[in-house]
Amino acid sequence: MKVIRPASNPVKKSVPGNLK
Amino acid sequence: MTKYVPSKFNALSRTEDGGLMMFNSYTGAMVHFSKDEKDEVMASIRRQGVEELDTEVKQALLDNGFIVPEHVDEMKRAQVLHQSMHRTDMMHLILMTTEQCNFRCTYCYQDFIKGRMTPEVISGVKNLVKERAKVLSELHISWFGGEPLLELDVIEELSRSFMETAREHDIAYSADISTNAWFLTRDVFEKLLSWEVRQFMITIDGVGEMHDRTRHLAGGQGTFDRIMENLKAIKESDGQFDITIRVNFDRENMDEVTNLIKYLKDYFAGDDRFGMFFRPVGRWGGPNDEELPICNHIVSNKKIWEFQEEALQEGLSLSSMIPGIMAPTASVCYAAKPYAMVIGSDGQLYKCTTCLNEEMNQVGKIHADGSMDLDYDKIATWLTTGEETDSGCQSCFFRPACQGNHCPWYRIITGERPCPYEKRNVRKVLNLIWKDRFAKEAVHQ
Repeated sequence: MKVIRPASNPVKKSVPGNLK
Repeated sequence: MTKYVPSKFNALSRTEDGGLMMFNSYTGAMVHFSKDEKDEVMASIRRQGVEELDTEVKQALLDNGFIVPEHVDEMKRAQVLHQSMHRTDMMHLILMTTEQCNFRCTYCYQDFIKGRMTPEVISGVKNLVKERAKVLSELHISWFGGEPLLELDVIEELSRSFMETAREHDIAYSADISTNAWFLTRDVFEKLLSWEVRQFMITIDGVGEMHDRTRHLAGGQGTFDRIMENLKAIKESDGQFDITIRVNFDRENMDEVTNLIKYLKDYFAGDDRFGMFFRPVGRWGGPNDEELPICNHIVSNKKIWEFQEEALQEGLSLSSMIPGIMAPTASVCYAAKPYAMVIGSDGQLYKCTTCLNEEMNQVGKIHADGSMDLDYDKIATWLTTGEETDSGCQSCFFRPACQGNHCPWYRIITGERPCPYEKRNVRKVLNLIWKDRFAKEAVHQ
């Protein structure tokens, strides 16, 4: 098991195409 | 006894070594499980859940959010996460030092009418930051334009003011820049680093003439040679920085991207301060939109990841933007963030950097004393067009990352869901992140 990125508290730390 | 069930926010991808990459968009965790651990992982994330956390693997699944206690309401978690974006201790300003540019890229959507940021606006921005400093814990600046380096002294004056304010109030300060790199000599680069500008977005669309075809000076002259000279000089810097080399592809340069990758690897392979990022050219409102030889969306979706894979195989890194996007709230566009604002060189305030001439995007003005006149009805539209009314987004595994707000303007204009390219191809992306990490470990061992 390799943790590439650990879990964190998300609240604490809070163009996909053409436009015409 | 507590039962643990699989999170609604998981994504999985098998890796070439027989293992498994797992990602959770609420906790941001990314974990690679080995071939030997995979069967236990798969058995532990079945819908009926598990009761005993009697192994290291099961405990890791809980610790990273891949399984959650049965009583947890993950929909409420996502709602609270969205509400938490309304924070007052953070500010992100996108500053247009000028709206002029020395380039005339064929696909550009800007109109280059306004010039350098006025003294009144410079004062206004300084005063705004000073006024807000009392409550800020983070301040991030994006230098934007036009070509922001045309007005380097504006960047210097404002950076010095921001850095001083940040020091006085113990604010974490950071900055990025989108530049065509024409003026990015080693000397200018080192100055920018000294002003805490450490993330750079620089575009190269091909080798030599293939780049110059789309990215030329206003007079039509080529720009490739000078950009490459600048990048080669920057590589010699021992500073800390993160450069994304963006490649915009269309039907005309698509077959030449392989040549570009082979060219760039001679300079940047193995140097993870430089990362690659591929995107299709789009019709974003520029004067040449109808003539652009764009790829259809099926080809675009496929090619982005083929190119990324090819670049990785040649030893070039993934842009940090790709794993960066794969995290809670990290795929939300600044247009949908309550604490982000675009400031034009004449003090016009916007939410989106793409549709500057749209009435609904002109959300206010900033004055020399730092006060802002804001149209909250317009701002409300930008902040509330996401997951709130889209049941598809509400039940999506990627919801905590993008909140349905990856590109509010795309949703407003097309009526379509603005799903990020990364979400659409999440298995491929997880595989690439694993390979990128694996390749780096092999080099550093």
